[in-house]
Amino acid sequence: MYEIMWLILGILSVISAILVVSRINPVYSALYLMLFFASVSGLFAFLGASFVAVTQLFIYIGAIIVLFLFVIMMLNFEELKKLQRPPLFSPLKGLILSLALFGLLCVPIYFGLPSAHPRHLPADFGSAKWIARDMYIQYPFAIELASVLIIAALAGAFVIARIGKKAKNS
Amino acid sequence: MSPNFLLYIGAALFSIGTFGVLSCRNTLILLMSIEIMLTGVSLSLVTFSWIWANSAGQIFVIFIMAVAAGEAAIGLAIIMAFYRLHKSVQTDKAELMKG
Repeated sequence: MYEIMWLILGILSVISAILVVSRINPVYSALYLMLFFASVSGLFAFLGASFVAVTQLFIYIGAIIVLFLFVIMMLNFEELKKLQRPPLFSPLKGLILSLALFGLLCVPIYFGLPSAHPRHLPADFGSAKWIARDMYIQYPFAIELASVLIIAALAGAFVIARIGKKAKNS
Repeated sequence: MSPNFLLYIGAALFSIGTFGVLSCRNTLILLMSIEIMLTGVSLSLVTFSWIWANSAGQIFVIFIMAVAAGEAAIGLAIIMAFYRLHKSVQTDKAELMKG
């Protein structure tokens, strides 16, 4: 049962990722990105990581996709629609490089890992309590760093957006 | 089916994101490709967490989500400023520092 869902959701996520990078209109890319995040969230759920799956749905689909769609809405949509894939840098080079990268990544998975069957999972595997206990005991400094990072990103987004506006007005 | 299949899926997602970063001229799709790369790594980490019944993988995924949220906010602010300057979002308009 688990394996069938892994197969279906994995193939769905790869297909939707390919559709994201191959569309010209970024609105379609954002919508396929939503499908991609939903399928990866399903994979997380079928791996037992229920808290991470729900967080993935909230953050990515609820916040990041909406942010992308807002920015697409603020830009000039007619300008975006007539963007063509430029002929200057052919996609063939990128395809060759990314296929080589995929080959490199497959080598350690094929040779280096024992064919793993899972250890005995604890009863509360993947729950918020199980994650939070280890996270707050072992990584308190990283949590503080993440909060500082989020605040810096907030202030930086304000500053960068205002700089662009000033350059337009002057 | 062994969970190594999911590690191959994670590697494929990372490679697809790399292809998008290398070949897309639209900066919006380029940011989306970076999100695809981060999600591929997250999938590998959750798979390892399932294989070894260890919580470190899922904790790292939560930190990756924090970084991805900040990165999307900053990246989209940069895209807005770039669009105001150049009236376009194509990367070949970014030639201010070209020698």
